[in-house]
Amino acid sequence: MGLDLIELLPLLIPLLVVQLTLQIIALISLWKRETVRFDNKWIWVVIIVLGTLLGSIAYFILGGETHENGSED
Amino acid sequence: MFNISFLKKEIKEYIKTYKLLIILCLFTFFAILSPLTARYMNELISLLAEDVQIIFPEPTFMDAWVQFYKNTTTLCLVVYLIIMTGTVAQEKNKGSIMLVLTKKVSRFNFLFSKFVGGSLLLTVGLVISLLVSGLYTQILFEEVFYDGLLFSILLLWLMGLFYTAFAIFASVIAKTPTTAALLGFAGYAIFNLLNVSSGLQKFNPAGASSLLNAILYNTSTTSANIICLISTIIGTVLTFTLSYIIFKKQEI
Repeated sequence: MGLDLIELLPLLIPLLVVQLTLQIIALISLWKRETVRFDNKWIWVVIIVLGTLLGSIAYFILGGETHENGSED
Repeated sequence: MFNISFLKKEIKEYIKTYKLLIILCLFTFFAILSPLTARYMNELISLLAEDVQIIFPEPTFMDAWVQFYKNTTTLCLVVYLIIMTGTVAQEKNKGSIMLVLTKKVSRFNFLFSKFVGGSLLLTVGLVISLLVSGLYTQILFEEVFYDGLLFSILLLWLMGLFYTAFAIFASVIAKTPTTAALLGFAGYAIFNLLNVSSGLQKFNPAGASSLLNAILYNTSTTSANIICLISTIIGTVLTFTLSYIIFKKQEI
């Protein structure tokens, strides 16, 4: 019993496409954004790249800057 | 009665704020992953624990559905809930709600458009994930359908609508989006805890998350299924009505 990655590849490609699409869009959004939460874009780069799909989602939900009155973008 | 232009604005907002993208990617990702995990779980365990000799039963298409329901009712639904809890609280916090409510949009229209918009977002996510997961299950197991599949999908969708109403409720009573998200998550945890009791499960508006597997393995009764369906609908209507009553009296 073993995993044949070559046989699995056509089934895995859509999975990678979905994940990479979200990561690339998250990185573009981060690059365009002037301010981010924690005031450090590199933290978000690490979260998006290493956190894969969930990291990108975390960026979109939590990455917005925090205003002085506590409101969020 | 219902302001369609405000709903259009909501949908544009979902695109602009990447909410639609998040839901599409998340639901599609787990729709692909669920049948794959079910099919290759034995091989993965064998790879990770080479020294351990365990004989697992051959996976079937039912395992793919178990994985699908598990992923959809946990991670996918939690992310959707968190996204939706910001819907009213964010506008209150930014002050943009004042502009909307003074433009002849009644409070009911405002809240109902939020509910319909969220429901559309969830429906799109669910339809795509069901199609993708069904396709992968067919490719990997050559079987997809089982008795009660359509009823399960209906129950899953209705539970999603209940959580939409609950997210709006959390968003109405909270002052900030963060508090609303925490309230939404706490509610999700409590509704899931209620599922531990089999007596309460069928009366729980979020009882479907446990009932889906019982329907799949044909171990649930028709009356329990119907009671759960009715509880979910009543729960949704009551939660939305309560949100509206509070929102109507709220000073903004």
